[in-house]
Amino acid sequence: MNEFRTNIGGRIARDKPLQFSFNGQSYIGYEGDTLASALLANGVHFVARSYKYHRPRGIMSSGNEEASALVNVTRGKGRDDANTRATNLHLYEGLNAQSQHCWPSLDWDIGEVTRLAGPVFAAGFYYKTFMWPKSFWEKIYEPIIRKSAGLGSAPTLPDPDTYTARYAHCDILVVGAGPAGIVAALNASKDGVRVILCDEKDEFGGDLLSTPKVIIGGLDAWDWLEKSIAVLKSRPNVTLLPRTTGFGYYEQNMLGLAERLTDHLADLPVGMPRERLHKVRAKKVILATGAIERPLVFPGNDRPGIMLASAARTYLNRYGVKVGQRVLAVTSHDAAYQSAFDLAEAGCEVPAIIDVRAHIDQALLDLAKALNIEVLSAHTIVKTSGHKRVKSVHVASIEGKANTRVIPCDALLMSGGFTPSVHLFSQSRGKLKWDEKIGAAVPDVYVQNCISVGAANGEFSLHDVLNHTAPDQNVLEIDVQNDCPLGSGQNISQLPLAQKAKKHGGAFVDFQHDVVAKDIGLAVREGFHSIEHIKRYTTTGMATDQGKTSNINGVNIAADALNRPVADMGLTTFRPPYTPTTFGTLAGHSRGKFFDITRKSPTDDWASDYGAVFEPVGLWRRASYFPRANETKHQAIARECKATRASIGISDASTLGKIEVVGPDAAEFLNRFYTNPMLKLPVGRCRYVLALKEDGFIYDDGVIARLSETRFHVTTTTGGAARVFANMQDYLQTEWPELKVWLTSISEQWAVIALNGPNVRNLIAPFVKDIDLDKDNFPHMSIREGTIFDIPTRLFRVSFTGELGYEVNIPAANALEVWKRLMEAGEQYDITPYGVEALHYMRAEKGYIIVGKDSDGTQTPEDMGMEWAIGKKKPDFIGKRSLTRPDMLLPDRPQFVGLMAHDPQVVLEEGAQIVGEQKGQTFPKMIGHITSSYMSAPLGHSIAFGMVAGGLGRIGDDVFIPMPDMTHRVKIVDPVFYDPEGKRLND
Amino acid sequence: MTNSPNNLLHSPLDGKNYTSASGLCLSVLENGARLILQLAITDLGHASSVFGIELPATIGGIAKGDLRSALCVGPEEWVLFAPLDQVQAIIGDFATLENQTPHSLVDISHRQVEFLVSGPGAADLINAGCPLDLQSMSVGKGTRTVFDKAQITLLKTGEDQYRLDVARSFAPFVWELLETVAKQTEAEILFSSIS
Repeated sequence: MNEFRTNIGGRIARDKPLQFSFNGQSYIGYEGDTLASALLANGVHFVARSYKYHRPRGIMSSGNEEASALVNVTRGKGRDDANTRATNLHLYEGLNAQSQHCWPSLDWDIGEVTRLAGPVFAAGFYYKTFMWPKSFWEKIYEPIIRKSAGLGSAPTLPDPDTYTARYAHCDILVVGAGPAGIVAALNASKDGVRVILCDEKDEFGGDLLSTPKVIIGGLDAWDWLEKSIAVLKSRPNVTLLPRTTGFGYYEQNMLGLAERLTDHLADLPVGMPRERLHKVRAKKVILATGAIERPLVFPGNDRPGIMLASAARTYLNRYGVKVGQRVLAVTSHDAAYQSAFDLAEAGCEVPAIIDVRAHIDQALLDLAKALNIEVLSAHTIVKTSGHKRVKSVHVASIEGKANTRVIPCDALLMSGGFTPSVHLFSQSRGKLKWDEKIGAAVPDVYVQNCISVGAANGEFSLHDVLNHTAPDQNVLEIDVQNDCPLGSGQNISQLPLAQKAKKHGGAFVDFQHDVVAKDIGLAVREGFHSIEHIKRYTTTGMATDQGKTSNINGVNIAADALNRPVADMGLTTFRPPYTPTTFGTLAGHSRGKFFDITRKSPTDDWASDYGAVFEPVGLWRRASYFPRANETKHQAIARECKATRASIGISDASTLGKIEVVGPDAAEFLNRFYTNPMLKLPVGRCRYVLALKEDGFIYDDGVIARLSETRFHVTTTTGGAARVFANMQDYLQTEWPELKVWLTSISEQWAVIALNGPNVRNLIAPFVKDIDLDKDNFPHMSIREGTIFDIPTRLFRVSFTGELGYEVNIPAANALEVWKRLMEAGEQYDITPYGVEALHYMRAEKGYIIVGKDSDGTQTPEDMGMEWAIGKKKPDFIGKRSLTRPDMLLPDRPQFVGLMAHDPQVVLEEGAQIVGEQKGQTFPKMIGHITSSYMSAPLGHSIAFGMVAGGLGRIGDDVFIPMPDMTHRVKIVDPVFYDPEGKRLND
Repeated sequence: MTNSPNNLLHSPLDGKNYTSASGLCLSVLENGARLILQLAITDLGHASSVFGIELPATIGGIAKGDLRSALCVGPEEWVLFAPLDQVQAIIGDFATLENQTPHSLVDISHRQVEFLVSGPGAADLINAGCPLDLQSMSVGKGTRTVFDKAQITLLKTGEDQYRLDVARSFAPFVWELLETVAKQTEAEILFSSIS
């Protein structure tokens, strides 16, 4: 049995002891404990060092608001969880946790020396101090600050766990399963509508788990709970989610819930995800998120052993743990009395309750007297002592007449009232109002279909909560006995005299960020008057607990300093997540191969077997090149280019975007959409086209084939397919709804096998039916429909290499077979598969541009030397008007040209700058840049493209490329390097 | 060398199949014909008589005949389903309509592949990536929607049975993610049965 464990009571399983380790020391706890309750049962209060001053810290709460007892949990390789709240960590056999922010040990911490220098670490310290000398910032200040800053240590290994996610829908989502949430769920689910009830804790019940003496409708609180939960479980329309935190409230009643599936288990089940993200869309949301007790602000209020009064009650009643043997309480509210009474009844010595109020309810005084507890009314605490655990408190009367009294103790409870948890309400964009009575903000104006109930709504009496949560559905009033309403008391910003007691150390407001009361005073004195500014300057409320225990005290102290009513101060914004949420949960399935889609073409498997090296093109992966034996990349590309130009190259071009445009107005639509004249394109012919945005700049190109008067097969670039399709739909729906034309994506219906080279016609002739392949009857830039290997084909005669070329379109499901047969039949011609790289080389030799490589979204057709693609007689097309704007007509716009280095073996660097002069100026003016550059194997020399200011008028001029090693002299030339007459193409 | 095109078909889901211990099942469906029909809603009657089924006028609606069925996926847009060998006949039938009723009919039989998700928990499984309220969706309805990062066409064919129609290059992603989540669920079921 643990030293501080009660003999009976609590909800722990005393027959299930669990061994666990904290900072290397072994302890015993019980099933049902949290790490915090188990440590307290073993008399361990000192568990952490604070973030900034490395002060010893204990366990200050029993819930998710915990700002001090943050620990690191280790459970094997890659499973290191920093900043876990010990109060929310379900104990399991073998749990292994360590303190953070201390070195070499929790007991003896080097960082604590900074505590001695405490006064210099005031608000704004970093902003002011590390300004000089400037050179010290990068090498000294920043690394030191970064090393000492941050909560806990980030893991360095990949997360071995898996995570899952799910969308869910319900009529009513209830967040929080305390009494208010349970009653709300019971009422809501009566009629069979879908209800989800979630709670962040392992067990439903909220505060009722800590108040077993309460009697509800004649039943003991815990029996009432069991019965109510059994009813909910029996209803098939109810989903109960324990260990599930509602962490974010988004638009249109979409909430994020994080469900922890395995963290509470000693052995991790194989294959089971660690957490599940529920993305819930609820018709109505009921927020039953409860309230959090406020600490009191007084000098030395952060020592281990000092905790919230409600937490001590929870440890006693729920976990069977006495937080001390000699316990004091300091309070401005009635709630602390019940905790003190419960502890006294459990056998703790409770010498005194220190109450700042002069007038206290006589009933409480009577009960205190009966338990032999002295009530010091109109008293305050001016000092505490005890380094690693509170030893004594120095008590003085508020009038200051009597001498200070020192009362020894080993625990001190504090209660400054309760703050409704309005985080989710605030995230829903609801407006809060200040409630003077409870000294906190409560929900006022709702923006979404949502209500707050119970303590979250400022309703602190259990009787009222149970009877008001769904009043129209309650036939009988529920009787409640032995309740201690939370609300009655006096709301103060800090204990009286606390401000005068400066020399006794910090009066902490934000325990996690180590912000003390005087930091807020300093911020105000330095001119920060808005609560948003004060928050940022002092960092109060900015830690991972989002100010759950500090916001209200902080705003009260600021209001005092500004001499303004606190109601006028406003509150800082609550941001999701409510509690820290793992990246794993947020990422869900999107990791590894599910991070993004890799689209594969129909011949991908074949290419993979053939040894292809792949490259990503948009979401697609395409064969980049097919190296043989010991070939380097460039050797492989050179071989593929030469083989294609000598005989036949074969390539998978299936990833090209394809859109079937059909309808009586199809030609008119395309005529408006593309720059080229489309109305008179004959059936059976193809046209290379440019698409402009409204600014006149090229954003895609492609080939359009006319299949009939009313049917066109449009190709786009691989990467541009989706955006061209969307843009077409956009124009059809918003600009030209009168056109009778419809679009269908056929990108994946048709696979495309590109065949290029002088022997291609000979290769396919035996297998093609119903198509006359004769070069005059089926000329370059034509399309025919027929069959190949008896499979229907749309056979394009087009070429992106400058050779005789065909693009064989076949249904995607047939592509792999057709490919294999062409490879087989092509053996006699030394058929050679080539990848995207060789294609890029060959198109460059021929002077063809790649949109997005040679152009960058700021080029007109004229800039690219493609004025010929513009239908000048057309009344309009997208981008037409922009082409005649003055800036578009300037003669020195960058223009697309070919470049040849004087040294034919030099491959210029893509992206390199082009200058007009070699010498004379230290910084010669840049007149352009290189967009594409290759070593052409068929030509035997390097080639390049570039954008050069006024380049089209400078053909033949020499320009220069300054590179780190030397400056290269290059000649501006026509961009067509290979077969400028197009003989091979038209053969 | 067999020259029949139908003997040469390949699917990116070839060989895939999954059934969990609890009966949750992913099974590839044989590829049928799919055609996208687009025309003005006022001309729907003409199209219905050509296709032989009263085409549904509301988005999400499905009409079924003996061998053919149709799903309305958007304003002016229907997916026509039929046995694969009927594609040419359907195209031929609609060609007779062209002069009187402007429309677009495009064969997309090979653009997509289909599979079935069935068994207990099928809706939860699809909800791993699909944001729709599948429980509230009636059996016999369909929709174009998303699964994670992929567009899908989803048909609810039974209380615990859904047909997914996915573009070829997206299909392995959708299948493998569904299978991964199904295995996670299986591990959860196993765990809750022993604990």
